[in-house]
Formats: sequence, structure tokens, C-alpha cells
Amino acid sequence: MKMEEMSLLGLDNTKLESIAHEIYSDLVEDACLGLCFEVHRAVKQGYFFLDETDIESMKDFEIVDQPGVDIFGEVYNQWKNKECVCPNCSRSIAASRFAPHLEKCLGMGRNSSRIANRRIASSNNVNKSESDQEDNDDLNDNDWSYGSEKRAKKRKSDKVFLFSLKCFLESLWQPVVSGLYPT
Amino acid sequence: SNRSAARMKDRPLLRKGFYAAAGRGAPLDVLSVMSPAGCSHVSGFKVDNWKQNLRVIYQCFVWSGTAETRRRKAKSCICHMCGAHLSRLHSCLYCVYFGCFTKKHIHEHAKNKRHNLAIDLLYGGIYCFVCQDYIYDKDMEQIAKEEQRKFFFFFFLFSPLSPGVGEKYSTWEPTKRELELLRHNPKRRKITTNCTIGLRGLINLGNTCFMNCIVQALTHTPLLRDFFLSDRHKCEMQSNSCLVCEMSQLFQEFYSGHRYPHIPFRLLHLVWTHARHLAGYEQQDAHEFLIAALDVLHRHCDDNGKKANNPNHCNCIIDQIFTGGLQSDVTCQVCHGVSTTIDPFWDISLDLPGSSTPFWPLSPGSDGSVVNGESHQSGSTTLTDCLRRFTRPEHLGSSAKIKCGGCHSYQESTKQLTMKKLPIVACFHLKRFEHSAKLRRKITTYVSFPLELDMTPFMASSKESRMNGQYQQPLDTLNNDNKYSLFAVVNHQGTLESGHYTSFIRQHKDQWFKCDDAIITKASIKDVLDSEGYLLFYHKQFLEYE
Repeated sequence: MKMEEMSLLGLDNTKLESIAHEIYSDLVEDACLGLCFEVHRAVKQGYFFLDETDIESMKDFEIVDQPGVDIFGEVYNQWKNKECVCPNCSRSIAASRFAPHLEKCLGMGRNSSRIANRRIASSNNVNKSESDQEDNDDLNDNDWSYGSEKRAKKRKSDKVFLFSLKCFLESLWQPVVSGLYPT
Repeated sequence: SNRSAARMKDRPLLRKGFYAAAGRGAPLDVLSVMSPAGCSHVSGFKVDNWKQNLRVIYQCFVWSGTAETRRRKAKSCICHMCGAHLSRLHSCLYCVYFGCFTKKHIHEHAKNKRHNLAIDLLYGGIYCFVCQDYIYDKDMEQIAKEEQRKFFFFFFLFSPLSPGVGEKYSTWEPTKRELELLRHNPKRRKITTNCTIGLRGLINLGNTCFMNCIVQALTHTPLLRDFFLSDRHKCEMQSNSCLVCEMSQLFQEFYSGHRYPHIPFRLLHLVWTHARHLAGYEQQDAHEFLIAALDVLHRHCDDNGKKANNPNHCNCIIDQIFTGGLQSDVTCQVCHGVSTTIDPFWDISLDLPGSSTPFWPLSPGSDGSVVNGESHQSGSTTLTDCLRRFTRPEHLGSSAKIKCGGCHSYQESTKQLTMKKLPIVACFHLKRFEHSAKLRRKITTYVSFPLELDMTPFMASSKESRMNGQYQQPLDTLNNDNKYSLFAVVNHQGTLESGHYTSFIRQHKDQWFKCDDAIITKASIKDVLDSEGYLLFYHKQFLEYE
């Protein structure tokens, strides 16, 4: 069919629709042809069958759906003695106790603050860096924007006051958190 | 076919090569002797200045990069016999002759002139009339690749549609060496429908089930999975503490094929380090963790200062997937002027019946309209009920007058929330944990939620029809923009003080799995829909380009 330039003006809707449909069919056919060429090339170049899964692997990764075992075919609750290395202190910790360890290790949370402050109040021989960390925690606990602002060292009496203030604020904190939008 | 068998018989090397290509373990040395994809008949063509001639043919008649060359191609490339412009037009490689393939006009020319090679003008494939097949000669392929690259470079350079995209995405093709290795090693890890790859248990690190559930939901968010598995995160953070990198690593773990559970201790460390307000190890809220994790991921996604300068124009993957726009309209009761604000959101928190704030009626003079195929009768509350309540016009009492810009005084008003922009992944948070000043308790009211959800009635654009009280769910199945599918559910069992989180996630379209820390088991859709529901994750069914 010869191609000739023609104006689209003055053509009625049915004619326009049939032209549009023709163009659409040509495009679909070209796309199908493209796919055929891809397959042809892959077969000839030798990589078409490369991703065929071997029977062994298929069996290996098959989902198991039986009572008493998980999808991997393993019995429940056998993962008891897992360990991991704490990124903070590099000690080897039992996986199931990692979270409480990390809390103390990072000096976070109510419990660790209380313990730490008691330690500070009772002795003056605390490691400098340790008390710095707790200071930051006291003040950063109620701070949304985690930043690297430096905090000045506070005096002992201030620490006790801050600790009580922190406990009070924390009791108010819970309902506020769940309603906030991301910053 | 018989013809191919006859051909193969005459060419023993070609036959061996073909079988090798088909993966049937022919001796590998055949591949190094001759490429089975090419043919010997091109030798007549590869003389003198053939490379340049071939380039010209590609540039003028196959890959026309500019509007001018395209016009020239359209005008000059017609079959010399019948004048056809399509019909798989081919150009002879030896002379200037165009002929269509479907009507065999190019074949006639080849026979008459003994010009045995032609090129397909649509895709640039070289056809050999002696072999009666398309062939792939290494040298000619090299030229084709170069010309194609040039074409795409210019095409995209000058295209208003995709500025800055310099190169077309090309599919992977193994090199000879890679082919060899892959043949020597036939074991494959392929994701099929009945495959455990993509699923993995997570060890509980001490009441960290809240984190495990969120990890399961995120690793089964299709768009997020695709983003990380195609290695789209380019880290710009100097230190080793990028949460997005850790997320990427997590996907690698989930798709590793390992069957033993993963220990997400590094993830916990990173999240707690970057979101210290999640202080404390006591039972934490999965919803809180989700928001904190999304926040840190969002911050780490592009850490070269862009975020700080322009927080509203971030286009990181987290924003692209999770951020929606919530419209708040406050209408002055006196002058009826409307003040509108739009705020970004990552989740929608919904009140439930049974809490201290009354749930019913949903709006004054509640209509009995049918939404999402359900009308409210006595029976369980539905997610749709919760959404209708969330988007109801609410009369703010006389104690909460707002300053009206139109009246220049404080007036009573109504406020209404609707969705302005829907996120790709919509997360609904059923507010089951009540923390008022007097009491802390868990609301266990059953709320039924659907597998598929249409958000159209809750859009800002649907407000008009709803206000008239005549809103009926249109049976407009052509508008698919607002249709969502459930893909993850996080559940909480137990009390406020001590409880356990588990999740259901969807894999391979219609398979559901229950994730209970390290134990992953198959679940039925009924199990999922009957569960209590705390966090519900829905994914848009249809994605469109912006």
C-alpha cells in the first residue's frame, strides 16, 4: 500500500478511527516481531535455555506445606543458639538477648538511664565518655531531630533534676508519638 | 521441519553448534571453532569499505535519530516492487534496493541479482538468503551495536520526553566465557511460583517481633523490592551507618535462598542509633517502628544536603512509594469560605468503635449509601466504615472557633479530611492501643478489611457528591487509579502490657504466608481476612507514569 501525505482535516470520525486502528495494529505487530527476533537471537546465540532450572534446585527451593514444619521443611523452634556480634561493643551476644544488651550498650531507655544516673550519683570515678553519652541521652530522648549537636556537661544536681523531668516527659510521650506526621 | 533437517545434514559443524546452542551438551570446543550464530556467506560482503557502507545503511535506513533522517527514511524506504512501506521492509546489502519480506519481493531480488544478504529496516537484523535465516555475525553485530548506541544517545538527547537519558537500557547477553561457565554449572536459583526464595524467617532479638513484622512488610512491598534488587541505591554516606544500605543487604538476605532465619541485629542497631526517641527495650509499637524506619530511610536516601534544603520536593524511593497528601478543609459556618491545607502522610490512623471517642454515627444525618459494595448494617465494622468516619465533615464546637480570613473574626467551622494524593502503598493503622490520661487498654473490636479496596469515595475530588448525600459508588471500572490490593497485615495478639506481633504477607500474587519471627508457614486468604488487623498495607493495582 503506497504511502502518501494527506491532511487529517476534513476527515470524519469513522475514517480517523480506522486510521488510528491501523496505526495501532501496525505497532502491535512490530512489537510482536521484535519479541520474535529476541527469542530467535537468544536461541541462535545459545543463551535461550540458560535459565532453565534444574530439577535438583527446584526441589531444594520448593515450598513445604505440612503441619509441624515451616515452608523450608524445618521443625519449629530449633533456632536456639544463635549469636551475633554487637556493633557497638564488639562482644558476642546471644541473639535472643541482643535487644536488651543493645539498650544498655547504647545507654538508651528508661532502665539504663536510671541505672546510669544512680551510678553517677554514687561515684565520681565514672568514665568521662560514658557520662557524656548519658547526658546526650537525657536531653535527646525528647528530641525528634537526631543531630550531632554538642551538649555542655551538666552539674550533678542538674542531672538529678533532668532525670525527674525526663521521667515526667516520658509518661506524656506515648500518646504524642503515634499522632505525628514525619518531619 | 524437513527443510531445516536437510540443511543441518549438509553442515555438520552448524548442526553440532546448534545443538550446543540448544544446551544439549555437545562438545564445547565447537563453540571456539565457529560461532554457530553466524554464517560463511557474509565473506562475500566483508570486502573493501564494507564497514562504512554498513554504517551508512544503519544510520539512514534503520536507526534514524533525528526528525530529518526519520522523514527521509519514511519517504524513501518503500518496496521497489509494490510500493509498500511496511510489510517487513528489507534493504539489500549489495545495492540500493528495498523490498518487502512478507510478499517475498526482496527474495526475488536476491535470487535475480545473487545478492544474498539483506537487512530488516525495523530491527536491523541481517538475513542470509542461502541459510534462509537471520544470522548474527560478530563483526557486523559490533557495528550494529555502535550505531544503535549513537542513535539512542541522540534520540534521547534531543527528546523532550526524557532529558538527560543518554543510553538505552540493554538486556544482558552472556559473553562466550560466561556461556561456558553457565554450561559447566547447570544449577540455577530461579524464582518460580512455588519457591521459597524471597521468604525468610527473622530471629527475635528479645521482644523485637514488632520490628520483624515491619521488615516482612517492607521486604514484600513490590516496588521497594524491585528498587533494591535492581541495585538502585547509590550510597553517598561516608560512614558505615546508612540504613538504606542495610535495607539493601536485607533484600540480598531474603533472596539468597538460605533457609535458616536471618538475625537482624545490625538493622536494630542502626534504627535505634538514628531514631533515639524509640528509647527503651520494653515492648514497642510496630506502627511507631514503621514511621521511625521510614523516616530514617527517607533521610538516608539522599544524604548530600538536598533533603535539608528542600524537604517538600524530595523524590527518594520512600517518598515515591509511601507519601500521600492529606487535604484538610476548614469551612467557616458563617461565610462558607474554605481554608485548605495539604499535608504529607505515610499512614492513616483510624479510630475504632469501642474507644473513648464515639464512633457512630459516621456523620450527622448519616446516609445509607453503598460504598465498596457494603452498606452498614448491624454486624462487624469494616475498614470502609473507618475510612468514611475519617473523611467525614466534623463540626468543630464553639470552644474551637477558628479565625476566618473572610469574616475577619473567630467563627465556628466544620473540618473535613480527604485524600488529595494517594500513595502507591497505603498503610492503615487501626488505633487499637488507647493511651488516654486515665486508661491504657487495647481495643479488640473486630474490623473486617477487604482484599481489594477502592479509595475513590475518600478522595478530595469525591467530596462534592458526598456532601450532597447522594453518593453512590460508580460502577466505573475503567477508572483504575484508586484501586488497591492488600499485600501485608500486621497483627497483635495479647494485651497492652505483653503481647506478640505476627504478620501475613503476600507473595506471588495469591499466595499468603504467616510470619511469626523465625517461623514462616503457608496461610490461606481466609486466615488473613479473619485476623484482627492492626496495620494493613495496600498496594496500588495500576501504576502510571507521571
